[in-house]
Amino acid sequence: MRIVRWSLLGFLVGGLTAVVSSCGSGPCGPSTCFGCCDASGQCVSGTDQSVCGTQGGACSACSAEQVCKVGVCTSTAAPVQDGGTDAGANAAPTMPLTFTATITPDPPILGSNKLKVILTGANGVAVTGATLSGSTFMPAMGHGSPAPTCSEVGGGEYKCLNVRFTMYGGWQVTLDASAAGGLSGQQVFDYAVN
Amino acid sequence: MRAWVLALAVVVGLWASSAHAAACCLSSSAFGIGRLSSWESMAFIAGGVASPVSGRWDGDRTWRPNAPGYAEAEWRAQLAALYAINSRFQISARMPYVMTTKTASDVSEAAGGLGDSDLFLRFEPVYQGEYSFLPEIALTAGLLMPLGRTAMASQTTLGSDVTGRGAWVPSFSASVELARDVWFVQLAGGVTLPMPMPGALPGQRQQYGPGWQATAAGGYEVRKGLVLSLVARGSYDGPLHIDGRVVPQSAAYDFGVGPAAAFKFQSHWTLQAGVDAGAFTSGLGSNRQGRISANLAVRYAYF
Repeated sequence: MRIVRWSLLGFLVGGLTAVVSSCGSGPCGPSTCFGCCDASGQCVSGTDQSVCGTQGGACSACSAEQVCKVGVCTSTAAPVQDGGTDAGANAAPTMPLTFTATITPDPPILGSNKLKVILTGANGVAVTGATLSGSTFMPAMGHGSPAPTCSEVGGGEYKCLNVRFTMYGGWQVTLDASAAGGLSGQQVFDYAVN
Repeated sequence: MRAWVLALAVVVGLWASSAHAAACCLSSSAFGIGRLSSWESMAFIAGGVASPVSGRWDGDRTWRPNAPGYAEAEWRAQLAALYAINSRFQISARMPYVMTTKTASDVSEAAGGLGDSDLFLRFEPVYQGEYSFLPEIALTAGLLMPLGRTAMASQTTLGSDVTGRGAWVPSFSASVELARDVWFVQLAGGVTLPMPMPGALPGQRQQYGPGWQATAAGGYEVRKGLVLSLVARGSYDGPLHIDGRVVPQSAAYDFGVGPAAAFKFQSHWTLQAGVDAGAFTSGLGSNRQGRISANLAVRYAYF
C-alpha cells in the first residue's frame, strides 16, 4: 500500500502544480504581458480601438481621430507607414530606422506573399545598403513559418519573398534591419489572413 | 466476454485519435492508449484517423467556417503497443504517421511524415474487479516526444508537411471506471505540462501553457461481443508565454462528443471505430480547428 500512497501523492502534487501554473505568472506588467493591462489588471491583446496598448503598459482608448495600430494609438492624419490597411507601424520616436511595408497581394492570402519594404532614416532619407531580415509568427498558435528571403532592390527599397502564412488567422511579420552608421531597427507588422 | 473489456477498448481508441487530431494546434493526449486486461501480457493496435477541417475558432471564440475554395484534412496512421510489467503497471507507446492535404486558391498540397510520439506508464492502484465495492482506478504518466516536423521547419507553401509542435510534453491523468454487467461509466481527467522550446526569433524561448483534459464515457453491450458507447471530451491549453510574458488571446479550448463501437470478432482480435466532432458555433472553442474525426483500428492481444 505504500507505493499506492506515494503514487497518489505524486499525481496530486503534479495536478496541483499544473492548475496553479495555469492561473497566470504574476501581476500584469511589462515583464508578464505582450499586450496591455486593462483596468481590471488583465492582460489583453491591446489591438482594439477602445483598449489599445502594448508591451505590458496600461491600455488606453484611442480618440476618434486615431486608430489602434499594433498597440499604439496613431493619428489618422499622420503619414501611413504601411501603405495599406492590413499593416501597422509602431516605430518609437527614437528608432533610427523607419520601415514602410506593403504586402502583395493585399489583403494577404494563405500561402506565399511578398513584402515591399522602404527603409528611411530619422531625416526621411532613404537608407541603402542595409541588411534586412524577416520572420513570421502566429501568436494565437505559437508558431511561425520559415523565414522569408529579403534582398535590396535599390534606392532604399527592399523586398521579402516567400512570406508564408500557413494558417488562417492573425500573423505577425517582424522585420530587422541594420545599416552603416549604426542605423538599426526592428518593427512588427500585423496581418489578418481570412 | 465481459462488457467492460470491450468498452474500454472503444473509449481509449477514441481518445487516442481525437486528442491528437491536429499536429500543429492541439494538445497532446494525457490519457494514454488504453490498457491491457488482466489476462493479457501485451497488445498491438494499428489504426487510422481521418479528420476533415470544417473551420476554426479564433482567439475571441468566434467560429469561422472554411473560406470558399479552402479545404484541409488530416490523415493519420498510427501503431501502438502495450506491455504488462506486472498486474499493476503497464507501459505503452504510440507512433503516428501524419499526412495533411490542403487546397487554397490555386495551391494544392499533400505531405506528411512521422508525427509526435508518446510513451506512457500506467499504474492501477485498484484494478478492475479487485474489490467488488470499488471501481477501477488508474493513474497514467505520459511523455510526448517532439519527433514530428515543426511549422518552422516546413518546406511546403501551405505547411501541409507539419506533423508536430516541437515541445516535450509530460502529462498526468487519472481515471475511474465503474462496470456492472453489460454497462460501464468512465470518468477521466488529466493535465499536460509543455516544456519550453525555441521561439520564432533568435534567442527567444516560448512555452505553451499547461492544459487540462477531461472525458466522460458510458457504454452498453448490445449483444455478445459488440459494445456501443458515447464519449464526451473537453480540453484546454493555457496561454502561450514568450520569454516569460503571456501572449493575450492565445489560450485554446474545445469540446467534442461522439459515438464509438467495438466488436470482438475473435478471442485475440477487436475492431474498434468512433467519431468525434465539436459543436461548430461561436463560444464553444478558441484557437482550435473544428474537425470531424473518424477513426478505425484493430487490436491484437497476446495472452
